[in-house]
Amino acid sequence: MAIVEAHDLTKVFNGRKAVDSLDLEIEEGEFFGLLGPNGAGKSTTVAMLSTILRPTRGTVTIAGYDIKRHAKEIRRLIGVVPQEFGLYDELTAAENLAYFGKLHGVEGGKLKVRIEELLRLVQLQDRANDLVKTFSGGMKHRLNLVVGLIHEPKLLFLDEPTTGLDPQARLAVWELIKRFQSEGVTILLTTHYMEEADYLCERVAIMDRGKVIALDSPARLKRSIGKLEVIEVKARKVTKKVLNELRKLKGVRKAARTTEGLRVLTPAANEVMARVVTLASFAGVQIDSLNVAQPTLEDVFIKLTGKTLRD
Amino acid sequence: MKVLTIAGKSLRIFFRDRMALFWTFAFPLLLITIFSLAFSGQDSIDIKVLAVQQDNSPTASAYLDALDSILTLERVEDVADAEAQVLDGEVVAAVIIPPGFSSGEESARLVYDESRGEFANTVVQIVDGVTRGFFGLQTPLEVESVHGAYKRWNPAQQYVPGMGIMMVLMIGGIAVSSRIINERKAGTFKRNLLAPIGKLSFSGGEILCGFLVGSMQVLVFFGVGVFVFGLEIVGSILLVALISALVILLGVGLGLLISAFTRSQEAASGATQAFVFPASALAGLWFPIDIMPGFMQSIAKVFPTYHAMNAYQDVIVRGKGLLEIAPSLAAVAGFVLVFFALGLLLFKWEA
Ligand SMILES: Nc1ncnc2c1ncn2[C@@H]1O[C@H](COP(=O)(O)OP(=O)(O)O)[C@@H](O)[C@H]1O
Ligand SMILES: [Mg+2]
Repeated sequence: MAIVEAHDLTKVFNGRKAVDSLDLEIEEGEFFGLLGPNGAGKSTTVAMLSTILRPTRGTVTIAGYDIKRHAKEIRRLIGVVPQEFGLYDELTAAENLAYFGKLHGVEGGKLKVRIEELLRLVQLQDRANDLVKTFSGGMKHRLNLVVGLIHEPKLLFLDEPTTGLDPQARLAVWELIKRFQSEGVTILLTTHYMEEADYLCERVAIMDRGKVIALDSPARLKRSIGKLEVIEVKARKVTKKVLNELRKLKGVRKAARTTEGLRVLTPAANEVMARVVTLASFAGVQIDSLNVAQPTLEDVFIKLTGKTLRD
Repeated sequence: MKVLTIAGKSLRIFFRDRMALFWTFAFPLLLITIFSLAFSGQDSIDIKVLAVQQDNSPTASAYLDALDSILTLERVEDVADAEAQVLDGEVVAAVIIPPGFSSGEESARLVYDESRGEFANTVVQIVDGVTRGFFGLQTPLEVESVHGAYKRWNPAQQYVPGMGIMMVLMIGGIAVSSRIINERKAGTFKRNLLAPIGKLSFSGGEILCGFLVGSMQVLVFFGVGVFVFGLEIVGSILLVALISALVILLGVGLGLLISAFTRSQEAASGATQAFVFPASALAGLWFPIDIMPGFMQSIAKVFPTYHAMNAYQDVIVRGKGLLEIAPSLAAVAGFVLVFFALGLLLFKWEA
């Protein structure tokens, strides 16, 4: 039996569907990802699965418990690392952990040991008795990660755990999260970084506008690009107008702007490259580099939606 | 008990906030001190005095008309009734014109409540002045003081309960609502919701924390009142505690209610003040209600603060018992129930 089973899960906010008929099954011990741009409905999904937001429609069971009738039992089993910090600034790191531990029924010596263990895990053992308000952003981030682990949950929800971190800090968090999984915890991670989903997750559901538009292992998702090739264009000042012109070029299936320039999906890379260069010189866009790249999850998203994850 | 864990956390945060401690304890004490020192006498505006006219001669009527032009006379039939009302603290004084007043056999009597201090003295002087103006030096007036258990007016009678109620409500309203609003903003509310605790545990913890802080305030205010300002509590201290408990719950309920429809600390503080200031100024917390115009005295009765103040003074100054203050207690309790019911009903349980 899957540890998470959601069917037809839907949430409507003011007439708009934030999550739209979601079906999801996550196996015990699995590392599952929800990949999608801002506003795709990832946090709303996590809130419903974690019992704190009532679905408009649909059913969810967690380890066989229904979220509507057995919220308390479910809350004992799950840990949540919310996208925004949830820490008391006026309490110390250890007091924050102790408080949430006690709310989950962890007490006494067991609580003390667990607090030390978690603080060591995120290298905050020397700051255990300092008020959180004296912490740097990075330290708060690390503490926020482990508060949701205080009661040794079987299922962990990580909502965009690396958003806003620099690449080095992100790597450190990735290593940390991998250690959570090696302890046998089932993980549902949400992210809008395709590298993150690719690197960490065994299966990924790609979400857009409340809907799951693809669901498979990262490798198979990338293979689903099929015969299409990806042209990676590094260029500056690519306007919307240029992008629209580009999309009309012969052989271009999809094109989208990235932070570095453009990605173009095509069945005939060599011919299209020449056309892209011609268009760029007419439009006055300076191309820094141009090459055929390995497909990424981003390209899968572009293929399915015509946009990038950052749009 | 998760409620205790939640309340303990909030109390700990509260005691680390020096600013909160100042507004909760030091500022009200400052108010009590300033008002107690500054107000030893007040001007007379619309002072109600009872009149019993048992001599129907034109002289007696003209004399009472003269008094009525300065004071507000209210006629009663029965001497015993008039005296009882003075003794009960309902009016400050009564003028009694006995039969045989006009023939010079009997003097008029002015019965006044000595425990009302400077205010009572002012009334006596006014009556005395009018009488001299009317009759000349040979005044047919006997002045007779009565008092309940309290012999001397002490401003602390007014300002310990007055400022006490005001500041317990103020801190209850602002601190309880701000704590809830801050938890929502800081994302900690969401984490509390994610814990396997009962639905009411979170608000229960905040209510308990608010109640404990309010209890500490009351202890400090009355402690300073008794030991520094010489406040005498004539009636039962248990009754003072009972009234205080209701006042504290009123403050906590106010905070709960305000947290349900405000989104920022500033809005919560503004909403609290918008309730507490009128409810203090107009209901006799800042100034004895007797010096206010008659219609204002009726308006005062719509505020729970008026009934709380009444109950406190009935116990502290007049030594009244539970049965006698029951109507005032019931009025305060009614407001407590309404605040709590609305506050919990409108409470938003989703993050
Ligand atoms: N409490 C809410 N009220 C109204 N709209 C909301 C609320 N929460 C989220 N939304 C809307 O639902 C959509 C999905 O939001 P969210 O689940 O936060 O997306 P994501 O986490 O993928 O960025 C967005 O359009 C957002 O504006
Ligand atoms: Mg989100």
